[in-house]
Amino acid sequence: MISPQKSPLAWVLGAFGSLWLTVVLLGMSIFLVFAGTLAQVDKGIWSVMEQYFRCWLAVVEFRVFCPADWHVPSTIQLWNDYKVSFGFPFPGGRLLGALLLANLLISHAGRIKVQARGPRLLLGLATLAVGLTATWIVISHVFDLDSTQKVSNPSLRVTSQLLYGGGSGAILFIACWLLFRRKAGIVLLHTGVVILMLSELTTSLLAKEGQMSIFEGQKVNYVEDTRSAELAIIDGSDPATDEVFVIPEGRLLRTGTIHVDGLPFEIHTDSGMFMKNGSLEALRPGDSTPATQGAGLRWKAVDRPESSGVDTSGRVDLPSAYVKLTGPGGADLGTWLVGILLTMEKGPQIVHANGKDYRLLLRFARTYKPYSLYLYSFRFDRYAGTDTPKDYSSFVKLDDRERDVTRDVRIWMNNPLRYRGDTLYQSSFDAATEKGTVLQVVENRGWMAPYVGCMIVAIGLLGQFQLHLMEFLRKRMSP
Amino acid sequence: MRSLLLSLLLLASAGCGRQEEVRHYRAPKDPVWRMLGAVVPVGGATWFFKVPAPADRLDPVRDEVLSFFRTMRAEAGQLRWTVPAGWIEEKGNAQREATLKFGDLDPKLELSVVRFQGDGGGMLANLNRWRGQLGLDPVGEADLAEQAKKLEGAATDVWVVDLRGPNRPGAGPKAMAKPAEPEPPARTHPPSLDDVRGMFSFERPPSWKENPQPSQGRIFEFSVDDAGGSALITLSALPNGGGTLADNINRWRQQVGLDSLNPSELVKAAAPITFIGSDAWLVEAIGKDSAILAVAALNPQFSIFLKMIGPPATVQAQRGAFMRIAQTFQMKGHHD
Repeated sequence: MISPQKSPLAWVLGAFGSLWLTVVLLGMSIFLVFAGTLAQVDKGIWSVMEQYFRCWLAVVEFRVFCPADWHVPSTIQLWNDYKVSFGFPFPGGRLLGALLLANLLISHAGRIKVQARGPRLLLGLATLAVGLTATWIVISHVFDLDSTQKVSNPSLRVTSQLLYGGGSGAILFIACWLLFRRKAGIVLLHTGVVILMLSELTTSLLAKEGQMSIFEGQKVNYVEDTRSAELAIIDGSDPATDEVFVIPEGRLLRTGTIHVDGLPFEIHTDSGMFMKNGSLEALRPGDSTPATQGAGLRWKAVDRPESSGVDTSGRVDLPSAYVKLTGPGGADLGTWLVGILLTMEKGPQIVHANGKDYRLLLRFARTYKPYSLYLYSFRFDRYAGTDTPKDYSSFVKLDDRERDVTRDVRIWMNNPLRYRGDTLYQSSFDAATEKGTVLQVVENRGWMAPYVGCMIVAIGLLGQFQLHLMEFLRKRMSP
Repeated sequence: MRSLLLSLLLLASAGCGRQEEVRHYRAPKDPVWRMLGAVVPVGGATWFFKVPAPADRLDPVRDEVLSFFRTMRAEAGQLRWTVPAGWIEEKGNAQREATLKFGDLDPKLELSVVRFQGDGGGMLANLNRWRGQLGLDPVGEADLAEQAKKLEGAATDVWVVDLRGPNRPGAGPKAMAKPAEPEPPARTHPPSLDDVRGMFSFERPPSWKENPQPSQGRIFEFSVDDAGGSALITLSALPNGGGTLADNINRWRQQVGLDSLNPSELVKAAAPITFIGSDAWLVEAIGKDSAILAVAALNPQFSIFLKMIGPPATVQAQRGAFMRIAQTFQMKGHHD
């Protein structure tokens, strides 16, 4: 009920800033984390991230709370092909995070008042500007642009990153002390919490991650995101470069017709013909198949469960799909089986249309980089006389023609290469030959934010304790 | 405050949807892999030479490799060759007779040399194995002359195979990606023979008869009769390994009245082959009165054997049919 003394805006702000809301939101967050963790028994970690945390509204499936042998379905069919998730709606991680952030900001805006006046206020604001600038510089990691391990010792490097964050946090603490006096630490540590929340938001929205798989003697200039696939149609008639048309996985998941400018055929997709994790089996006599052309006449895709988030082997899903192609005037160019496993083992298929050959393949989603890496060699060091891994190293040549950069780099465990906003970690290798490396390539401009946020929280806590201690001592010592 | 909230909501909603636009761009060409190989039969054995590499790296050295192949010659039943200046010949190991490196020409390239007794599984089977490694479809007998050409200018018969394909031979991205496979469901009772038989598909040669009730321990049993006598063909699977390749070779040799081989001879008594999507060995043991032709896919958990036993003439006559059925055998969840 709205009090007659309060305006509707004040009532809303009061409700949003209440401690009760904080408690309820934290309780809901704990439940969401619990449900999302259980969901990883059946689903991959990235599917769960999208379904539970990186969304505004989650659907918590009933089956995550039931034993596996109850066989509770994840979806139920309402009519024809229309299916819905068998669960209940619940605020997603993004909504809970936004509400918690609003709750934090509103509650503090109402309770924390600036305590400084006159020259102290000016000095406080100036120091605050310096502190915020320093924090921004540290987060945007100007200290580490396009570098290859300025500090080679990993522990020293992490320490130096924490010191950068600590330095900016110290300046901010002085500013808070000038502006808010006794509550300086509380303001600062909550600022650190806000930075941590915003860093997760920006990471989920802006960070890109993929893998670069390179064999010795090979040069690669793209990363592949093993979490999603894309249908690539390639016109290789130009001897210099390929003309590539790419249809993302999201479009293959929906039933529809895709017209692509520049292609002489249309692609028809069917949501029921896409398998998130499909294996290949040889067609046996009597087997039916939707395929009428290409490898699908000899192979069929069989739907497999998604890789589970509790699987520790690092395996990935390999999608498959059947797509129908029609040429000008609706001419049937056949229904084709495409799949990542099929591409890996058999290579692309050839579609002949309009007098040209097009390569058709499903592959992991690619992002091209403005630089390339050439792998000289991969080295897997073991402790003498054992098979226990000691170190994994990739010796690569970095080549960036845009910036006229060519240099030899060693990437090894805990010693990534940072270049043009990307961080390239030693991630895996080709176990069969030990002559191929897999580098994890992460593009995250805000990777320093969690370091800075943690240090600001720590300095805020220590500062608040210090202020209370000094006040206590002053009272004890005063007559 | 309201504007701050609004800004945050707008920021968050901006990236809500995944990128779902169709993209169109020009990109550097993906590397094409090339394999230059030679098959050289000399004195009852067959040598296989092979150098796989990205095509742009193999193209410049092609002529040097062919010149090297032309140095092949047979001397006293053995194959001899001359190592070109600058190349390095390294001693072989259990799998290889030798390894040739190209020196300054391209330090990363390697030409492997493998020797097998007999024909090593035959030209067609090996050609299709190499084609499979490059991601190419198998070819039939009719295409053999086009795919394997006799090298002019060599002192002995050298059959050159030059293939290009999209996949890297040997371990490729498949090994890197580690596809997700579900854990097998826990069984409360052992699978019936029909369950196991239902896991396989194959194309039976028309002249072979299938025994619907195979003997204990066998999954499939076929028989074939011809002028030389009757041969029995069996497919069996053994859990927990089924013994080493050496154990199996010597056991089969004893069955046909041949002596056991020592370890150095064993390496050359089996030829590599792909069987039910796995690396396997083709073994031939021809005795005076009976012969065995077998394919063994050995795995620590589960080994599969396809074996033909019968009079030598019948086994030789049915060799083609045996190789064909070996190529068509498939198992659910496996792919070659």
